Amino acid sequence: MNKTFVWGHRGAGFTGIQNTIASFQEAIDMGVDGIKTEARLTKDGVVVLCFYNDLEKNGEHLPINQLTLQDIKNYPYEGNETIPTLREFFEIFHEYDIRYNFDITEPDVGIEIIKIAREFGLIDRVEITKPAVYPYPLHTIFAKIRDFDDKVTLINSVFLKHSVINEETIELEAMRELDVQAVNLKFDYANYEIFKMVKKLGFKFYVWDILFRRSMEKFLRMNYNNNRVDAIYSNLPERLLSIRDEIQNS
Amino acid sequence: MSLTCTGCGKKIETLPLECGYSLNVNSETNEMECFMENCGMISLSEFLCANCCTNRNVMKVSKAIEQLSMTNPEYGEELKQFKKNIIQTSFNDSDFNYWIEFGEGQFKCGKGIKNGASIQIKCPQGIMNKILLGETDAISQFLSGKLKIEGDIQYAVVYFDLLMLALEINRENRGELF
Repeated sequence: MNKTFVWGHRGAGFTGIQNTIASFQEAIDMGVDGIKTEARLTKDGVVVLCFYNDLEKNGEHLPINQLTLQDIKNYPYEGNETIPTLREFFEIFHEYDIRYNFDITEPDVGIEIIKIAREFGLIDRVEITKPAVYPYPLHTIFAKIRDFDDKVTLINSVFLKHSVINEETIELEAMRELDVQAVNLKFDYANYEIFKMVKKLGFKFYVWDILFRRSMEKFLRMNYNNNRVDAIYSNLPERLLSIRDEIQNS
Repeated sequence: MSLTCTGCGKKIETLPLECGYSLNVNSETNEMECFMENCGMISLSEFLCANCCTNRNVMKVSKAIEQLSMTNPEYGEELKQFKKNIIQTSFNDSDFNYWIEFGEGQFKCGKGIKNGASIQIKCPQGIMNKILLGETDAISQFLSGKLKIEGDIQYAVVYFDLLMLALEINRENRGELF
């Protein structure tokens, strides 16, 4: 049985300054299987890795897509860190045996990610994710990306307002049409019955926002027909890796 | 009959004619008491308006979680995983404020305003009361715009996750903790 894949959320999660080269390096040193981050396009069309929708410039909050790369590089982050570009990220980390997962909120960012990943020969290791706060149907974000690349891995984080998880709320039909590979749920929306449903439908099952030991143990122990939960995102990846070793190595 | 709230001093406008609960005599104090749901047993020398009753419940649950952090090893261990955060909560339909400080193994709370809050939460008091009772979840209230969060949203989510964990531990203890 495959082990559950551990994603370091924004790098090493709550350790250090998130979405920085230092945090990504720390996550890799911890032994994560992949790094999950957020990607956005600047005004001059550069993909940067940043959670924030907007940044403050001269006392004004401006969306990242209205700021140039220069503006963004001048943004004062803690610890003299800067917001990295995707190209910098791949240049530094492309030789590690890890996967990369990017939350996006517009299709054009996904297409730019694919172009750069192809340059680095990393397209097989890239996953593009619709975030759980994105309220629109899967087609609005993934149709253009799927037209551009018929193989890239796409992940569906189910919208957080759906209190019931079923074939309708995971957009089963759209997932099949767009060849979306995984359903990603916030941990308190997920349970064994939903895990079984997703696996029976033939998709991978991801869970996010897992912090507590009891939740980590619960999802790391889940097993349906020799299938484990496929992946977990955590802001405490070192803890998750340690508990995975306890449970899935035994 | 005119009553004023013991909590805020305002006149209580409406009185339930038939609440369905019976009055009891507290054998220790020899005073009449009435069961007021979230507020528990209330002495008849003390009357609370709905606002003060909700505020009292919010503090009662928060204080119970503070107690849980000191007595439940699992909960205390989880609180060690996070850096210290201060959350200031205010209600947009009441002048009641309270703060929560969590992280580094501790969970503390208090009425009023605390300096140094990195997260501000604003919502109607009834919404926070429902969250604390496990009757609604904070994320869906946030997405519907009824609950506003300013500051570090990630740690606000951790706070709500910690609330859910406390409720879960309390349920496992058949509601005996709070």
